[in-house]
Amino acid sequence: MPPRVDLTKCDGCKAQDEPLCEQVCPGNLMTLNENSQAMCRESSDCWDCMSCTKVYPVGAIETRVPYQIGYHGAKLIPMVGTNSITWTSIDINDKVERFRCKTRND
Amino acid sequence: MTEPLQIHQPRSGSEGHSDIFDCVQCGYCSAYCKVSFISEDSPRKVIRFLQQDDIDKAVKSSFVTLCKQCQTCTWMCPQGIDVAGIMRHLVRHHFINY
Amino acid sequence: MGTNPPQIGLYIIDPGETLAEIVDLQAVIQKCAKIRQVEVCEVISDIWAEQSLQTVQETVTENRIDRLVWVGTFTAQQKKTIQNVLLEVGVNPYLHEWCDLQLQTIALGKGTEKTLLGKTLTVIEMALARAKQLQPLVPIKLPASDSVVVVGAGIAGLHAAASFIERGKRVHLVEKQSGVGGKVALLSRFYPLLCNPQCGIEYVLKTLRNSDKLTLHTLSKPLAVEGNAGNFSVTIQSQPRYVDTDRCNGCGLCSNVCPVELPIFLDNIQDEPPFQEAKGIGGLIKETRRAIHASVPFSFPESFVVERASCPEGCCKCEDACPTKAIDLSEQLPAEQNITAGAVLATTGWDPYPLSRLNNYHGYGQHANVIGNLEMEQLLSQISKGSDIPLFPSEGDGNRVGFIQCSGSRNTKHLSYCSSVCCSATIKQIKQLKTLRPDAKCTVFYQDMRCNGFEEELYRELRSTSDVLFVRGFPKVEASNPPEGTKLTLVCEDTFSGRPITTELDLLVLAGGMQPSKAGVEFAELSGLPLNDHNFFEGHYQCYPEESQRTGILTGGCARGPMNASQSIESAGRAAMKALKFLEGTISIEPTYPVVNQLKCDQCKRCVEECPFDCYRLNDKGFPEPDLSKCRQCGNCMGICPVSAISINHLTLKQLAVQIEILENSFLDYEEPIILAFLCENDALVAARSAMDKGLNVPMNVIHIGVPCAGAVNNALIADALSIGIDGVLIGGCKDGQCHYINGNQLVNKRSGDLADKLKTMRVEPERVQSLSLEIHEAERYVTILEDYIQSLKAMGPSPFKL
Repeated sequence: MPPRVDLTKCDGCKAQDEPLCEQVCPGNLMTLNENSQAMCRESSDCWDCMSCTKVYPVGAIETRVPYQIGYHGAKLIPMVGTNSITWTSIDINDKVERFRCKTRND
Repeated sequence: MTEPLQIHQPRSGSEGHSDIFDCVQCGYCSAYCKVSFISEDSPRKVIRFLQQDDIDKAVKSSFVTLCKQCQTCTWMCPQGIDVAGIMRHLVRHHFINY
Repeated sequence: MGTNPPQIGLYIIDPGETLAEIVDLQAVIQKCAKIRQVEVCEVISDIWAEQSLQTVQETVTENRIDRLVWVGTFTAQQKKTIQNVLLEVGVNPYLHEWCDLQLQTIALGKGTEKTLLGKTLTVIEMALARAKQLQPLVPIKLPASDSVVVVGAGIAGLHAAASFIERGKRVHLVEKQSGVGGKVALLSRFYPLLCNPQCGIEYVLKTLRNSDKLTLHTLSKPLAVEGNAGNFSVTIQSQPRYVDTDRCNGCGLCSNVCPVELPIFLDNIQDEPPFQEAKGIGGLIKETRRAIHASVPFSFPESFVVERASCPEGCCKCEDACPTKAIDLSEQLPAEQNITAGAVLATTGWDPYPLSRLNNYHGYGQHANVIGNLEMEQLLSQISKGSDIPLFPSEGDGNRVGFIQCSGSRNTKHLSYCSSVCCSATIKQIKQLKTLRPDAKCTVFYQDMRCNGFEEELYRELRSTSDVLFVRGFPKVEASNPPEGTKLTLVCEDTFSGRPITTELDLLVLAGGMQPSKAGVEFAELSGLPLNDHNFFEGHYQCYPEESQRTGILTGGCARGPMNASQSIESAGRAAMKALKFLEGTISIEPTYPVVNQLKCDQCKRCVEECPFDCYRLNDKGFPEPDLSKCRQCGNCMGICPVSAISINHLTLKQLAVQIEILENSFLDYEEPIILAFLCENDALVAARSAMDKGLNVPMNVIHIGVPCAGAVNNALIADALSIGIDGVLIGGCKDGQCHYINGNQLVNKRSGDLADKLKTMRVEPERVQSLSLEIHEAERYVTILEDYIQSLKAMGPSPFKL
């Protein structure tokens, strides 16, 4: 399932040449559309690595969970701290689960 | 009086007109008014009456009937008050009530 | 840091054993001694006893400890003393960590024994965690130029230049006219002693004349200001004088042979010359100047100058007449040059408000005998020099003079502010007029007489004079092209009596206002300084009035707002004082500057965009680098960085993160919310501290962390805090428009808005993160806010992340 961009929030990283999501995407899928806002150019190729979602500074990208794991409407939301990431998973029945993973971000 | 007077005019940015309480009684309007010197009152005095909440006195004032709506007072006012507009309101009430 | 992990000395300062009454210190010691890397753990009851600090010093010299954590309550002075004592044995001042129990609400002693002990242990652990991350830091020194550029040689610029020269600094004085003096040189008398300003200028020039440190650039203007504090590169353009300043001896023979006569001074002061040839003051002031003349407005430099544009074709009489061969009338181009300077001082002064814009009101430029107050000054100085000018042109020698105050000032259609000097100027002019022409009858039409300070006495003195009439009201002057020979008649309502007054006058003086000079607006444009709503230079009027948004560029005198000559001189002096620190040859920079971790940075340029002082530049590899001489160390870049790559030294993200991590284990009951408050050190933290000092009932739930600006709080830190189960995060900054770093509080509001949206999608109440603005005196309000916040947090229930 591809990343969804909230176009009201995305500022195209102030329209620099290469926005953050484009830099981090391992499949080189993210790019800017004609309005200088982020978009995924080949949604079928996205393998839900969540890199763009984690890195996004204003929280404009959301990744839906693949249907094999949760049906439409299920979400996985990261919150990046200095040395940990906290994941919130919301399934289609609105059940919320939270995980905190230490990272070696420092 | 049949209807409440709308003298307090809304402030609307720099272009709009200000409230009567912005009047600092400088007397520009009176000096430049074409008719104030044949009347006992002057636009400044009328506004002073309104500031003192003496609406009756303002409406009864002989000056308001003389006002010719030449807009000089509005143009001259350093505080941006629509003096002529206030006079227009008053003159209407003057003829309705007296 | 060496290879060994840092060893920490923990000292609990408990004067008078007041702390021991609140907290079981033995339990604290036992717990803390078990923490790793804590080598020494002691309670010192009297730190100021002689042996106490000696013992600490010995422990350091024995190499047992290299980080020190002080627990207790300290004033800034005490911290400094302890730091200095330990500096003697080589402990870097940045290796101390201060755990202020007063600030953390413990010293108040409110709450149960268990929570007090718990909270004490938590805050000490936080301090220990941070102490492990501390690094020794030293101020860095940058080379700097010791010369200064002063733009504008008015009275403010001259005094500033004199102050610099007295301190032995090299001064480049840039002036757009051919001579120094500015507007003050045009005055007849000035405040408060009512002496001649020529004398005042001559006095300050005494310092300048004899100095080899002064370079005067006349007929010049700055074109560009590059670089930063300590090392500005100022490009200036100078128009040719056509007279060699070194050779010219100022004999004036050239002026005598010059065939061109020009009216004096008017074109110098009015951007929009109001008069047609035959009318007005052009006829009043008989004195003229030639195309080659001494420097105006004040004859310094002493060399003459040629107004080449008014020279007749092929005339070179002056060239022939000059005995020293100083004149060269061949075609010359404007010269450009670069000056390196440590600081730039903008004393660009003021321009008179163009009174011709008032012709609807007062007939300026239409009646021959309506003049502005600056022209009145000229007139008075001409008369006092003894020239036989008929003061009152239309009627031979009448004696009735009128003054209209606030001509153009305090008027929403013109200058909305009060120009602050015109009332006193009118008083001064009347006073001088009465000495020169005792029979003059003066009438002043005013709205309010604003004679501040001692000037009030002059006003009272004049008011008691019988033939000076003060009328409160604005007169009407017949304006639209009166026929020749019409008498000047004024109609006015005396607003005190309500009676109309009709006056005939022989001369009417309009007290026109001050507007910022055109040169000042141009300078602001080319140097990128912000102007306020009235086009004067913006500054933080209370805290650093003379400093501009660009470090190293200072503003003084009337460039900052209307002031009289003496205020202007004071302002210039203060600006010079502030500028001196950039002229020491080196600039010392506190080590708490931001550092960019290039391994993490992904060149998103957000720091470049958001830095309030525009101090980030990209280096050749594309990474942002702060320009330390511009940086004011507010930490907004640290707050904005999306990948947490920027940290300010001594308050790094890592140091904050390890502190937050300690809070994972709550020191309160499960139901009691824990609030982490990041407070701005300028306002909010002081308010919180004073709440504690006043003994207000500050709840135990809150942990305070001070940051240089609310904008320095990174979202990652908030994420950290929330994810370990802290119930609420407060970010306290200044009120809008009061931020010392321009817009830190606005930035943090915008960011916390983004975070709130994210929390909403995560099914976490967005109200858990709150930003508040707090003024420095609002201690009571802070406590109320905290109590309300705790209530709302309790209503929400414990954080979903809480274990």
